[in-house]
Amino acid sequence: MTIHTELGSVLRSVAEARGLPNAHYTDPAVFAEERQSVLFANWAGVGFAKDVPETGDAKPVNFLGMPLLLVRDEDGGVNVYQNTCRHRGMILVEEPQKIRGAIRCPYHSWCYTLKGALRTTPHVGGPGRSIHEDIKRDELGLIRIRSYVWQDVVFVNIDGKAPAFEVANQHLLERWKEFDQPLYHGGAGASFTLSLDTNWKLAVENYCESYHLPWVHPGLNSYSRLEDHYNIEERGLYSGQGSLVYRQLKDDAGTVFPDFGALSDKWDTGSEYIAVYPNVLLGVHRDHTFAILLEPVDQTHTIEHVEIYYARPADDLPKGLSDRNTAQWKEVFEEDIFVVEGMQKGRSGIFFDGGKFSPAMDGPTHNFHHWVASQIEAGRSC
Amino acid sequence: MQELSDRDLDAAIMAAHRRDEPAALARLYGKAAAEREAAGDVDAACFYYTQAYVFALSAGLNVAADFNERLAFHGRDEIQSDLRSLQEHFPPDASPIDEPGI
Repeated sequence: MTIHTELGSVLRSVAEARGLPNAHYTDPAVFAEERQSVLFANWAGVGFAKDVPETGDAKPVNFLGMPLLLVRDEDGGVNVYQNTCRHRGMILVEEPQKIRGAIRCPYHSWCYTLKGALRTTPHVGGPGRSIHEDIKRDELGLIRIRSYVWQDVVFVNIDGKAPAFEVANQHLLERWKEFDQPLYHGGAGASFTLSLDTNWKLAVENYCESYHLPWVHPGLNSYSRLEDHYNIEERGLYSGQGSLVYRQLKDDAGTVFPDFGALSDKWDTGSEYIAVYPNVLLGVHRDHTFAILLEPVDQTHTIEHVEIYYARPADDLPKGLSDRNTAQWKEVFEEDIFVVEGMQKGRSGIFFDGGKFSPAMDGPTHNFHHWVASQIEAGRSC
Repeated sequence: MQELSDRDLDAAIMAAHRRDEPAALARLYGKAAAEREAAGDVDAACFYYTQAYVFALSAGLNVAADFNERLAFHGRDEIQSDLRSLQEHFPPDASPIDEPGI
């Protein structure tokens, strides 16, 4: 059953708007609508290029029930395919693995190249005959999903109808062009996941705004006060927050992480945290970046995949410092769990009306609501 | 599977299947194929060449090109021009491929 929630109030100015109705956080039918109109119709994050570092590395990903396969090809490119054989619909790869010469379907052994071409169809024309006039290999390659790697995040546009990634994200790519340089993942200690009993959008909304910092992250008050932050809002594009007082982490000897090259003065003490709609949260600093990929499991469950990157390979970083950095960020993100889960619980209150935004403080959150509502309205008009 | 004349070879193939060793399977099926081809049984040979080819591809072995050429020669598959460089991209499977007595 399709439920057409009322979104007109969400699309008003921040001073007058209400937030998205409860059903957008609790109703499986609305979740299904958002799956198509918000997550499949835009550039959603589904993985990290660092997880397929070498030729032949393949990683299956289940994104909202859609089976995907990330594959590194011979030319170093990351490809995303539907992880489904063109013959009988068998899942091709079920565990991360090194593909050697062919992506081989485990059912009838149809074989595909790393670039998705159908290489052979054994016995398809009868025993010992791998050709048949009705099996046209050039029409039966793996279904390629549009993909783009930025900041090591593998973005996909599943419905294939969104503008090119560079067009859709032109404004943000320009804003952060100084960080368009090699990133090095911090290694095993620079990855962690958090499993949340909340709708994926609440994690975006909490990330966007600094209003909650003094209350939820009191440890930041001593050096990163609320007034040191600014809102980032680009209508129809992205939102987040920035800080003017980023302080580098130091070890006992005063050693810091190496900086990214040729950054402007703004980044000496500046940092920015932006939600790349729909489901990727990025943070940039002079000496490290991080990416949070929100995996929407269902309408009330989300997995946060957190990865931290540096300007130099992990072995070149000050010993022990990256572990401290990971621990610091993990503490901050864990402090947010009770609020994103609490907002989820609060949305079971049948009289909650989407909430009232602070025009001064909640602009980035409203910007996201407005964008989501716009995507849903666009989907309904098709 | 078609009946093998060499019972030892048949047993070795089954053992390699159980151990999931594509490189060994490529070699053993290739041996069976060559034997049937030498005996003039093209259909049986191409069955085994097909098996050998698929497992050679799976293992990333350059010998896949040889099997592919035999199949193409008999009109059973399309020639794949890039197979000679397979091992440049894919280090071969480290599993043993030699079967004692075969």
